[in-house]
Amino acid sequence: MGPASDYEIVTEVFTNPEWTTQRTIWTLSPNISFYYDSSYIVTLSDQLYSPNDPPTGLLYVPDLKAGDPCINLTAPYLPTHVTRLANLPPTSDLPTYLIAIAPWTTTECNTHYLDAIPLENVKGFLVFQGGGVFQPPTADDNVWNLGNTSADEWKSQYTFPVFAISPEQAENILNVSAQYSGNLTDVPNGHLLTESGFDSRDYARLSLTINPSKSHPLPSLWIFVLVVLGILLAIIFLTSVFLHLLQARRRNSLRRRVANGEVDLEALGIKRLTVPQDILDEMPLYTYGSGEPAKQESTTAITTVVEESVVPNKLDSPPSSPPTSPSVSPAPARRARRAKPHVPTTLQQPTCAICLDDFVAAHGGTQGTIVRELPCQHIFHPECVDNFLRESSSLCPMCKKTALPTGYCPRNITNAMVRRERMVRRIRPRAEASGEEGGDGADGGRRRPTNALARLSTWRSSNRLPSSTQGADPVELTERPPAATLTTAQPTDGISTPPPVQPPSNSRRREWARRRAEAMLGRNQAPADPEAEEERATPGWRKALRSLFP
Amino acid sequence: MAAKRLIKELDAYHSDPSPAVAILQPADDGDLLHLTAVLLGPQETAYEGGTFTLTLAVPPNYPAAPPDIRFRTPCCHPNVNFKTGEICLDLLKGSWTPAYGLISTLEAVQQLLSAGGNPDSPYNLDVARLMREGDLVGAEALVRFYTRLYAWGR
Ligand SMILES: [Zn+2]
Ligand SMILES: [Zn+2]
Repeated sequence: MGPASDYEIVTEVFTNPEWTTQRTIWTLSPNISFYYDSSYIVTLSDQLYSPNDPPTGLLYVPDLKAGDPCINLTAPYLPTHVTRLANLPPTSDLPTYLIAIAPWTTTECNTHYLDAIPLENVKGFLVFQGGGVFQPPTADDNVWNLGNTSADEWKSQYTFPVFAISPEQAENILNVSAQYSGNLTDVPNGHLLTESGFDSRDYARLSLTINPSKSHPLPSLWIFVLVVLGILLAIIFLTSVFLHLLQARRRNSLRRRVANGEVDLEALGIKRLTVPQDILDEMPLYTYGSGEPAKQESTTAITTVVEESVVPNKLDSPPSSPPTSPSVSPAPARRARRAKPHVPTTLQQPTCAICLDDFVAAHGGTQGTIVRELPCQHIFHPECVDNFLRESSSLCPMCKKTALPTGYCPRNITNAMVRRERMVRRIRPRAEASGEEGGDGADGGRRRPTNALARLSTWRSSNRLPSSTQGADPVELTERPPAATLTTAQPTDGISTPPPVQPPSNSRRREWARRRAEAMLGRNQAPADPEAEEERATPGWRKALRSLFP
Repeated sequence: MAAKRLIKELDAYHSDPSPAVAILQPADDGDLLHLTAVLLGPQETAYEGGTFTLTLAVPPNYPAAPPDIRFRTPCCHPNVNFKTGEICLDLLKGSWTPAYGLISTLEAVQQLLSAGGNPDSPYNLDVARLMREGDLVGAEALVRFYTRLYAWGR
């Protein structure tokens, strides 16, 4: 129905500017004057209409130019003495605004009436369908078109609001308006008015007010909704701040524990780390066999490990290859200083586990292979292991011990890492408990050796199966000449705690292979890089939520 | 790097075959990075007598990254996707280290078959459900049925 909900008509008396400069308006009581209100009103144009300042003013019928045929055409709808401008004081002296009213008939006459309305002083224009039914048609009805110009066009042309009212009610109002157009003494109850003290020269006229839609509990509902939303937002914001602070604390705590060496990020599958070049550069680089430092190592690193020299001897120098096997364990000085007296200072595998090439010890004119020794004492070609540690993982390919110094902490501890670390801590005790339950061997397949990798590396470094005995160690990556390896060395790997599994005969070989393969099973479903994996697997909304509530 | 190491591994395999792996060879000549393997069903298990064909796709940065190994012969196992042949084995994912080779990995896959698998991270829901419900006889019968159906006489 538009912004107007109803209109209200009262009778007002105001002083005549001809005899007094004092401008006073009285609204008469409905008992002795005309009062009317109706909700049959349709807003046709809301130009300059403001619900906060509803249009109000004295009701009048605009005058057309003399000789206009519309005067005759609209005469049937307008009583002879209806209030016109001539029945009001000059507009400059008017104590209030005006509301125009006219019938809606032909396009020509409608235009004439619209044009006849002065823009100043008039606060609104009421039309009624000449000869129409009781209720005014809705605003989008074709009745309100003005010839060929569309409804929107003429509405924007006239800068006052236009309303349609019921033709029947308009007729009544205009009839009353004709009664309230003359002298005060001539209006209904005129004598009562003069008797009660009004000057007979004063004006008594109809005044019309268009009330805006009162259905405005809406704003208060909106305010309520906004307040609730605001409170929710505040709660979300505060929770987010709190969680961010909490997460920052957890990051710091994790960083501290990593720095103290309590948490190994990569071994726990929390974060795949790589080794920066400067740390790589600090790992000893020396000639295989002799231990001659390859680079700036100043100390001639020949530590005699007399008691144990036999072991590395058997291990690393098969008789077929260079006959002069080094009888000293190559150990750079700083490593030797750190090593305990009974632990051999080096493992001296014969082969690089990455490219499967054998290391060659220096003898005669040939130069020995330069090897890189990791903190776990496994050795590799630097060209093999450097790339691997720098780009793929910080864990030793042989034993999975980290090559990073204790307390090395990546620059960024992310929330995802904190999350994973907490998850690991939660799961760990559970997994250990369930591991003990099923430890009777009946469910062997599901038992996962905890030290599997360490054991694996032990086998690899210590067990030499002669290829003459049917099938060599399948994990053994190098082929050894038969004679070289008949003696199986004791595990020299200072890391591995479980005793090496030695395949003594064909019958037990399968069991041995089974156990070794089992050792490789490990936990299932460990992602290559847990963080990248999580990043990929997390849907976008979840990421957004996490950035809000870490 | 990858090719050189693969040649070494294949040489080692040929001079010293694995009891678990009947065949390991490039899928076609000239492309070392795609291999075919035939794995023998472990004895004294429901897979016994089965021969399983697997494909191995070796990444160019091998051995820094693990090979992608899939069953071509349908294999009924809680940790093997029956349709795609994907294997849920952490050795093929995060636990990989360059010290493993193709043969040792294939042996680990065979071991996965004989170990019965872990029904808690299943790729094959039917058999995992049987195992979780403790119907080991049922699970074994199912495995035996599929092994006979797909992996026998190939
Ligand atoms: Zn190498
Ligand atoms: Zn190591």
